Amino acid sequence: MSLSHPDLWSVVNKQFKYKWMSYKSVFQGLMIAQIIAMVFSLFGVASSSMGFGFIDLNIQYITGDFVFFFTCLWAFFISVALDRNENRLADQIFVTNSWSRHLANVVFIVIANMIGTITVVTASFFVKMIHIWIFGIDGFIFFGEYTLPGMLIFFIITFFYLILFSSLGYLIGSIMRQGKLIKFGVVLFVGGPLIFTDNSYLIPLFQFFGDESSVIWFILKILLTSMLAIGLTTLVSRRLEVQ
Amino acid sequence: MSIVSCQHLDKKYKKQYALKDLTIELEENRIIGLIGRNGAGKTTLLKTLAGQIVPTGGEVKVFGENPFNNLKLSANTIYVDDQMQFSLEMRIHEILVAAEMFYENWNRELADRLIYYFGVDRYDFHDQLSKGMASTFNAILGLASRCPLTIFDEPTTGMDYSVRQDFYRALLKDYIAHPRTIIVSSHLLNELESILEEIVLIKNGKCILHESIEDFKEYAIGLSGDKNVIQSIVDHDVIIHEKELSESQVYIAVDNHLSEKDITGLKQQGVQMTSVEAADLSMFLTNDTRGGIDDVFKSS
Repeated sequence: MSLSHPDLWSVVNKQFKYKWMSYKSVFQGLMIAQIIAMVFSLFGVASSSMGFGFIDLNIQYITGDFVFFFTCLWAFFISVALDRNENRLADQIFVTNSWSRHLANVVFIVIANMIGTITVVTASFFVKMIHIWIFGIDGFIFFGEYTLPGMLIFFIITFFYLILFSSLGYLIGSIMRQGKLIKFGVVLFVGGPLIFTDNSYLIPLFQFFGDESSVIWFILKILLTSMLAIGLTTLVSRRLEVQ
Repeated sequence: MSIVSCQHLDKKYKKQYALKDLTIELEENRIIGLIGRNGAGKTTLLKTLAGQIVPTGGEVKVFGENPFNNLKLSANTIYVDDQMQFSLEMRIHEILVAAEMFYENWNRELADRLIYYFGVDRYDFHDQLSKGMASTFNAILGLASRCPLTIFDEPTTGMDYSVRQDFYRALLKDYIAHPRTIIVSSHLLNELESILEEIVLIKNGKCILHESIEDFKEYAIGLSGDKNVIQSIVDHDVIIHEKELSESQVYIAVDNHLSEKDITGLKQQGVQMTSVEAADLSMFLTNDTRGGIDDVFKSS
């Protein structure tokens, strides 16, 4: 019987299709996260009240910020779980090696995040629409101006933030799978401070990405960080046996 | 051509060796039985060949290459056992689509016919199948993928008798039509014997025997008769198995290398000579227990 000599990219392509068939819950998770976020958003992200003598002005900001934030969490957690043991076992039944697996995972993350981005943008509008349906137009509504370049930037920024959260999740997931003790350490030293401190140490990190005024630099920073995270992941999980 | 080559292979888990100094060469296009007791190292060896485990020592080559993390090996090998963990979100018919996508030699018609014959519900999820049905489905996957190296690790776990017989028959028929290297592991030789061409016995992580099935059937002879007579003629080193029949009578299985003189001597003393069934012999050789079960109940 003659041997087949598969090339890496054809296997990556097949593995991506396989993952697309087998990770349906990822998109159910996205729907649930965004529905919860939309419910929160309906009550307004922020509001301010002002009084001018006999006039009271109450301004409520309806935005998709909650949806964005929840989708970032979704991107992070699906990526933590993407390369988990069960999934590696399921990969291993068919044709795979660690390169093709990581590459297929990256392709999956990119496509899933594209879908995530589209739904973040549409959900942001949806929230505003629902707000009008429920509460009616009983006041003045000021819409932000939506221009095509502005929307494009909204798409790009959202997408690359999701990529950033995903790649960090992918790295953290792979580190956690190195052993029970390491998993405990990650939870203790990463999860602990996030919950029990004011997280002021994260400010420079957010500033590094968030204060970037050039879109090109922003994209480059995120791409470099993500590539670094995924590179580290392949290194960390290099000798991992599936058991 | 040698398709599998292991040289002084070791695999250590914490302090225990699962494989120890195992050396074996397997030729292409054979059906090989890997027989050993539970914990002998069968699964560790097979998973090493399938590239799922990294050995701690020695060298392993499959298709002339290191199997771990090897795409070529993965494309030409399928490893089937009862622990196969499929995606919980895929139904049987979707798994079949995936298998067809990945395996070049996949035969859809064969898979469909076997699925129909064994009554596997295509719309079930794999984890909804009963143990026997899951094993049957896994075996179908192994057969229909027609990989140049097909590994079945205890494939019949949970299958009932008639399904086991059908599976072995299907395996043999498909092998004859499409010869490839098939390794089937089991702790028992009984049902496998008729389809095997070669047998490999493994005990305590070592390969203790690798023979063609014909040679294996001639490997030993059984002697029953007077204990003292047999012990005086037969060298203790060649005894494979010993069982007391009564105070003075004994049954002994020995290496079939007795000299003409010994055979004549034994016959003259009334010792009966019988062939040893391959299944029994594999059990004697891989046995890890001390004495026989009867010894446990003997009053001291």
